[in-house]
Amino acid sequence: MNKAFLFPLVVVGLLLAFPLIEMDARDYILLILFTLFLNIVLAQSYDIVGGQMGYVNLGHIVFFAIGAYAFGIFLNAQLGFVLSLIGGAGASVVFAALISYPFFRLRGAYFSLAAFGLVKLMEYVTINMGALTGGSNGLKIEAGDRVVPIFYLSLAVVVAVVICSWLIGRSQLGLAMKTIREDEEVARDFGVPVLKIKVQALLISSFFPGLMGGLYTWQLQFIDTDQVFGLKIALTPIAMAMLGGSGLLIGPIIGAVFLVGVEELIWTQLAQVHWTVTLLGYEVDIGQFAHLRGAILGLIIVLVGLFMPGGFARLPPVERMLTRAGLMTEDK
Amino acid sequence: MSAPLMSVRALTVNFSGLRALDRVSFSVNPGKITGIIGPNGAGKTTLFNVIAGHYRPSGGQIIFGERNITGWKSDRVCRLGISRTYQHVRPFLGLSVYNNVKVGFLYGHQAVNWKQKELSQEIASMLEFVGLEGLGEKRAEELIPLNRKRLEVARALATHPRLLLLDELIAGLTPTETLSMMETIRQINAKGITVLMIEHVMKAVMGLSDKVVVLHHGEVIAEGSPAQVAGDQAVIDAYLGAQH
Amino acid sequence: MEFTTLVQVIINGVLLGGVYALAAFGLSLIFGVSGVLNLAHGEFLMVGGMAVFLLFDALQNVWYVNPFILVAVVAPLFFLVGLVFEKALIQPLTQRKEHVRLASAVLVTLGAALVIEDVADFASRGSQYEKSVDFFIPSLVIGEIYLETNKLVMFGLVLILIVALFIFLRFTYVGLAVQAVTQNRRGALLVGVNTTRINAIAFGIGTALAAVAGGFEVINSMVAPNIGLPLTLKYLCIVVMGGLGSFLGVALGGVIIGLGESFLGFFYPAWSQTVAYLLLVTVLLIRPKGLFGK
Repeated sequence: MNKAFLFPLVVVGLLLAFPLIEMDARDYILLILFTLFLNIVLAQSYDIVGGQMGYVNLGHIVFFAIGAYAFGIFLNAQLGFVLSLIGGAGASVVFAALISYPFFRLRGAYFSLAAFGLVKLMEYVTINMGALTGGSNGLKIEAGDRVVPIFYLSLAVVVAVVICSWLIGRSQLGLAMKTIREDEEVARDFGVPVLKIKVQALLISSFFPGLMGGLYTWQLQFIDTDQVFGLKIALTPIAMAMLGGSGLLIGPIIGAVFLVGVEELIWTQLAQVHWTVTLLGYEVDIGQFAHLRGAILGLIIVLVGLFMPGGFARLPPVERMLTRAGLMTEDK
Repeated sequence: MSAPLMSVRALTVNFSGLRALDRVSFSVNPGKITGIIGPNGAGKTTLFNVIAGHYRPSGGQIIFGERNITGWKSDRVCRLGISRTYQHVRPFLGLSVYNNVKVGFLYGHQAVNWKQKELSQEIASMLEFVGLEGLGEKRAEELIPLNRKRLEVARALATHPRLLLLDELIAGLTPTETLSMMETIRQINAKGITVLMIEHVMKAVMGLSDKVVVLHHGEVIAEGSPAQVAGDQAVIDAYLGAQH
Repeated sequence: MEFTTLVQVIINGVLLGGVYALAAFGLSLIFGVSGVLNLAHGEFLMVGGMAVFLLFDALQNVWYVNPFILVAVVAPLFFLVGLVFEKALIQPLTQRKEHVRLASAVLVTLGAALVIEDVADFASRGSQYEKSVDFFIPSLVIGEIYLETNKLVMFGLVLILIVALFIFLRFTYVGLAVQAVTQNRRGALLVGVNTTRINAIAFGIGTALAAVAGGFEVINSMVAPNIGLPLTLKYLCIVVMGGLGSFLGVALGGVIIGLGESFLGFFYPAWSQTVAYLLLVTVLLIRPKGLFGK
């Protein structure tokens, strides 16, 4: 058996076993892991279009938001959990199909911008369609005990999106996507049906956030437009993909683990301590700097953009390590 | 004489008021090498771009085989059997040499169900043919300029073209490299592939072509065998400037 | 709709559009010259507004100064801020491959936007969140039409600035060089334009314009730490809708969106904020390179 499969299998195995362990902090950890899975799915699915095909889709979060709302609406219409979840993902894919043709007439920065504009547009549309979405009051659903099932379901979506992304990277479709990234005009000159390929890529990349959106609603029992359309949730997964290494299978995962780790382990903890020091005669509460975590996130993003455009995974020492572990997929 | 493989009829291209091509007509005979020469700005690359489907001409027709392909999109033109190289080479820089060629095989012509192993062998022999053996795993951006040109040829050949458009493939090469590239072009032609080449290097174009078309200010000013064209007064004037 | 109301709505729309156009000009200049989508543009607007507010607030008890003068004081400072921003964050990206450059520019300017927003937010703790300058001049009444004098002054200043910008672009060496780089970077480099310097100047001017617009915002309505990114998005809509590098397009785009918001705000207030995005998407679908793009 190929050693490349060993490490992922062990990780997934451990994760599968984790909820069986009896401990006080179990539910808290499961919740953090859910946040991590959510981000991995968003980052990885973004990267199908953003990394492999080179279209920086700043509106990727719309698929997630549609999945989240559609799931809630279907569930409240008594469609049942499974159908609602599939329906939510389906709604995302349908929406992707609707926007794909017009949006893919745009290239480069124009595409990114129009997609970014779509986030705001859909947010206002959601607020104004109060009858369906609850408008600015948000959308509520009823759900029972779900910590463990949601953990397994979201893990399953992670596994699915990673496998899907891996298969695309090795497929004929993936090759065509990469030629579009490198030089779309030349790709077309060599017979690549660029529009068809771009549409296929977008449809695939919209399915997983749609699914995850449903699970998110199920987890929170209440969503509003800030939660699913907010700029932070819209842009963080993209930053994660680039931070880890866009275009590489492992990249979005590394980025998500890093940023969720920083967020949960450092800032959440820091906000709870009150550690006062005297600085130049002033009493300074270190804990209050936890409020600057947006700035620190921003700073990390700036530094990545400036100094490692290829992300963590393409730093030579990291690359060597990943290659040794068999986790480095080639992006060429 | 057999019917031409491609006929260009009264092809006209306007760029916001500027006439880049003016009623250009000529034909390309099957199995032959046709050269296109002309001073800078004569419209040679524009001609290639129109044939390849980058933009729609303002007037005129392009007939390939039996078909009128005027205004076809470039992916369709490619699948029909016209492939090309670029004046300023444009390999897929971030992709491996192997994958650059693979794109041509997979997308460049009518559907063929390649078996993985066959395809690898085809690509390997294609790389060997152009002189890139052993470089398949390198990224295209790691290649030296000469090898990038070779890669473009391999990628174009991978589409199994009936007509190959070569845009200044030889310009910029050293004398030795020129000879080897000329040999490659001859071998390609010997496989039965018709070649239409833009070239500035007179020795190459005169040595290789069966027929030469001369463009000047977007118009065809001469057409004929290399010897005829070289003696044509209009051509001499165009190149030297009609100062007398 | 009564005639006077119609006139009022149109006038408001044009005034609003004028300020939009001003900030969008700055963004367009940057986008045109460097090819970078500066997602931090709205942050400079916000900080510019904050700076005017702070100066006004600090001077209030000493010397009651016309806030428009403060805007003029702040603008040159932000020209310098723009220069430094470009030098530190944008210049290092220029040599990268196109799709990498696009992605890294998004990262860098977005990260900077987050930093600026969060620091502004942190610094505003303990004081009011939305800041505005109290400055009123009596309204002008013509028949039944009320015109806020503040807005009129502002609109006059916007027009003057736009004309000045036009003269700068049309009749000065640097202005012509900016246009040359916008149209064809390599060509401009070949004829000897110092593109590095032009990039920096474009960022300087663009940032100064954003700060001026921010000053107008704080006088006219308010600024708050979180307005940056949504505003950037709106300005990007205007720039892209008008067509990259087209100054006429930006002016027209600004006014169209101003009018659209003003009209929709009158009939269906809930939808008024969607105008920019709806128009952007519609225009791009019909003309993928914007109204005046080539």
